[in-house]
Amino acid sequence: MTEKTDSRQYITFLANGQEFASPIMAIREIRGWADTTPLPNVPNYVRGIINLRGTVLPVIDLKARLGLGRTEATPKNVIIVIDTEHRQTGLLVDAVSDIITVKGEEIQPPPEMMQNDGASRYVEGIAVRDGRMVTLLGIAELTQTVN
Amino acid sequence: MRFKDLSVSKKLVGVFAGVLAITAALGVFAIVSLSSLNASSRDVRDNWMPAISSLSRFEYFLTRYRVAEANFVMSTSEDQRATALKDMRGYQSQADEAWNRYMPTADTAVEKAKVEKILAERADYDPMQSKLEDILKSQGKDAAIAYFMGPMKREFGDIIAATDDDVTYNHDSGIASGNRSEATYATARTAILLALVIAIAICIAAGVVLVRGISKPLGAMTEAMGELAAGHLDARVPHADQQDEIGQLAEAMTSFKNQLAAAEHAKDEQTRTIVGSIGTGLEHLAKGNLTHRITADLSGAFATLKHNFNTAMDHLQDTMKNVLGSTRQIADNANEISTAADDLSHRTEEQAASLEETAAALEEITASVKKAASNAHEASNAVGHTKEVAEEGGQIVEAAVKAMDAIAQSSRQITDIIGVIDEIAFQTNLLALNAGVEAARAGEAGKGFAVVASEVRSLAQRSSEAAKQIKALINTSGEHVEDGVKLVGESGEALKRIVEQVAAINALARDSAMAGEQQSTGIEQVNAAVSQMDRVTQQNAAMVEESTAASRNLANETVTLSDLVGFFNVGDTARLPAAAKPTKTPPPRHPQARRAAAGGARVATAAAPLASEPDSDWTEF
Repeated sequence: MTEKTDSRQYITFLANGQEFASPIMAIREIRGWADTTPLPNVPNYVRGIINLRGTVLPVIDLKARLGLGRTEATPKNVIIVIDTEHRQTGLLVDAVSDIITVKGEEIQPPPEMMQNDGASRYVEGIAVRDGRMVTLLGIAELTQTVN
Repeated sequence: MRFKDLSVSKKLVGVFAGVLAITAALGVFAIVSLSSLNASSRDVRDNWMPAISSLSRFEYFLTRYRVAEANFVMSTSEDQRATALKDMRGYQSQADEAWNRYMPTADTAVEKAKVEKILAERADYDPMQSKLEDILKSQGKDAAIAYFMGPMKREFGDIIAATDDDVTYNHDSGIASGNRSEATYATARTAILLALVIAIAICIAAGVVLVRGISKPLGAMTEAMGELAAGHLDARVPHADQQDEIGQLAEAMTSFKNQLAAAEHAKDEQTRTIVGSIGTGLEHLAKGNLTHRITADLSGAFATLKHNFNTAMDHLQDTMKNVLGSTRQIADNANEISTAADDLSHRTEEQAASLEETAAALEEITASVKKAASNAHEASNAVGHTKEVAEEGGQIVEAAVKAMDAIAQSSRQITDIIGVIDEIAFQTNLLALNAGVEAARAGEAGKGFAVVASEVRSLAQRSSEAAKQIKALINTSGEHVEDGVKLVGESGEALKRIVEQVAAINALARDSAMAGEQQSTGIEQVNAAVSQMDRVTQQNAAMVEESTAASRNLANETVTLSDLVGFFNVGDTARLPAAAKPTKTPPPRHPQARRAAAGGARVATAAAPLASEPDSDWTEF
């Protein structure tokens, strides 16, 4: 990718009070919370499935996925529909904040101590914006385990 | 001898005898007339009618005999002839029998002549029967018929004619006899009617005469007796000149009248004597001399009268002596009463004055109590008004609470609307984000669109912020309203308590007013009672004054009474108590004006005790 050194557009969102970001190109659409249909025999972070205009897709609770506990869903919560190569997946977050543009030099790798942690697999890096730390998520890895 | 001099029994007998004679004459005349009538009718029955009957029978059998003779002539056999002869003999004997019955009734000369003629004709006819038998035997049937229808028929006709003549005569005589009896009846009727009229007239005349001769004089005598009984001794006695019983009665009455007059005269004489002696006694009594006694000799009931008069004079003399003594005693007592009454009058006036002061003081108390009652009443009214105002305040507080509730309701609605706006902002934000995502995917071409989406997002975010702020404000305002409601409720409660307290105060004030009024009424009653006492005491004072004056008058009158009783001469007066000369009564105290003396009376009483009568402790009080 030529733009890797330049800049990329991200969508930032909140979960558990923390600000995360995802590349905008991986995102299909953003929509409000709708009740999901629970699935049997799935990990606890999978909230179930929803019907998005004919396409059935699973919804992952980001907070639970990050091992931070289950999200109490309200109409104010948002589902971000992520479109990967394989399939579409819903990601339940607290709220969507902004669309930001991050330059390559602004991204720092995750700390070393996170390397061995399973969770670090989903973190691509950390960007600092106006003094705020934004965790850049690796969406593909995050959603892969669902399959 | 006049009719009115006859005795009453003779008058009655004479009149009834006359009536009896008239009645008897009338009866005799009637009997005679009836006898005449009876004779005529008996003549018709016993003479004329049997004669006609017998003659008719005789004629009938003669006719039958003639028919039998004709049968004899016309008979064709000996048997028939014998039968005819037998019939002829039978009829002849029956005709003879009828004739014999008739014969005794022929008693007049004319009738006897007619009988002779009938007998002569029969004597001519009877021999012709034997001649007829001879002609029949000798010359045959035709000659016999010729004889029978010739000379025999002529002779037979003569018999019948004579007999008819006799029958006619008897008949006419019977009718004449009947006419005679009719005439007799008419005459007798007229005569009896006339006699009846005369008898009635005589009876009426006799009645009138009896009434005039007996009843009228008796009535007059009764009237005269009534007058005598009524005391008119000069009444005239009527019919004294008559010689009958009424005349004797008049004589007896006249002597009775004279005796009465004599008795009256004797009574007058005696009365004069009694009146003289009693009159003298009464004259002395009138002059007040009670020592006089009747000494005249009086007899009978008048002796008792004299005794009673003298006894009465004795009693009167004693009584008058006692009266004189009592009068003197009364005069002394009356003087004492008069003095006591003066004192009583004085003290009663003082009592009246002090009562009047009491009444005045009570009136002032009444006025102040009335004022207090009126104030209490006004306070009660004011408190009642306060209570009403407080109740109005309570109502206003309730209205405020309601208004606050309404505000809270409106706030809730606003909150709902804000929620909707917030939702719209949220959705708009999502849409803007999606648009941004699409713009990013579009790459270089979507850059302008991304800017628009960003602007929309910021607008949505501002909307959301504003909604949040409004929501916060509304929430704050809602809290404030809630606080307000609570405070208003508390103030309502406070007002309610105030109202209750005010009601209690009102009740107390009303009780106080009522008590004041009752006090006022009670004091008024006391006042009325004191006024009544005052009035009564003043009336008592007036009455005491009157009785004082009356006792003085009594003393004076007692003196007069003594003088008056002294008029009677009762003889010895030495043993009587000395007549107390009535002391001159003290001049009546000047009646003090009770009202003017009201203040000073008490002092005067204390200062001047009635020392004039040291023996009467009861005057001190």
